[in-house]
Amino acid sequence: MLSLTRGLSSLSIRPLHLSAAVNSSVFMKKQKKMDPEVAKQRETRRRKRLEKEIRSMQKHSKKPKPVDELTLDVKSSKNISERRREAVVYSEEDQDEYAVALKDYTRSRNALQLQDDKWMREAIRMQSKALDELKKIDSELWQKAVQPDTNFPLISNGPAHSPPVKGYIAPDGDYIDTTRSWT
Amino acid sequence: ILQMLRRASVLKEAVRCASLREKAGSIPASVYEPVFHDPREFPEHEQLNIRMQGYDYVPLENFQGLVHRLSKRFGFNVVDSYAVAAQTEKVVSYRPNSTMVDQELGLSLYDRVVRISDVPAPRLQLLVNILRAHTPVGVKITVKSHEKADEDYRYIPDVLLKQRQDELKMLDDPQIRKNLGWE
Repeated sequence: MLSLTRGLSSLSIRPLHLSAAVNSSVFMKKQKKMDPEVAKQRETRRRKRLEKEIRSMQKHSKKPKPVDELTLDVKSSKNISERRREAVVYSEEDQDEYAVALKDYTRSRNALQLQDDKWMREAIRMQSKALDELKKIDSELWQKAVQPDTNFPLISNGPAHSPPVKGYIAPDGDYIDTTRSWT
Repeated sequence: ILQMLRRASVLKEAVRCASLREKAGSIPASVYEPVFHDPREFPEHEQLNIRMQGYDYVPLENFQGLVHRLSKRFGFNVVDSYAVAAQTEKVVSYRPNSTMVDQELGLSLYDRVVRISDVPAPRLQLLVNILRAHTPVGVKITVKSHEKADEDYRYIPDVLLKQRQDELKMLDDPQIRKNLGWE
């Protein structure tokens, strides 16, 4: 626009009459000039408001996903009166048997725990000894041996209930994921 | 004159060497500040998550208790031991050679996590070995380093908070800053 008008005036033709009406067409929005201080204030105010809101939200925000097996089952708690039983009365012999079995169980569990402790003590001792010997031999190798593990995640499955059934034909079916999504 | 200077410098050196400070040597750091010796001999892992998943939560919870106890036995610091919301799935089995629904089951995969820290690098493998020996039927263990995503997975995502944070980030976007009008 500016260059055009410059050229025209140099040709000493009557200059174009420029006005707001001429400049604007139907397709151009009127550019309101924002006072820079006002705009700055507006921006800082908006920023402060947002930060305050974020801070107050973060205080109350962390709602843990409910763990269904640890919450009270409302239906069952309402009709619990229907499902009460009287306490079972054991005879003297049964009580003695129970007490003897309980003691045997406790002893076996204790023995297992002592075995575990022994294994752990021995493992730590042997590992420390091996690492000490390695340090004496080669300091660099010891450094490498003592670095933290990086091949995470370590996944291991527990034992199966039974060995695989021979000649088992699995039925056709689908697994549909019905996990509750909170978004 | 040179000879005189040399003799003088030799005398000066002799005088300097006689000082007690130089006989004693440089002052060790322990004179002004106590020396705290770090008793740890191996580098340590960051916080680790031991995640246990299974379809039966009774042995799973007992196993969680065992993991907690064994980690304490080894001397690791147990930061947190918690449950996470279960993943549910619907299992649909069809009658043979058709899509007629035979059985519909709802299964939940329960989740328990034990978070440990202060784990010396060589000792982790010993813990993993003993856990693998004790894993109950049907439980899957995953050992991995703790990340923010793992912590966020426990909580319901707050959509409004995310919106506000995105708005705040948007204010820093150069395109939008131009339209604000004061830069």
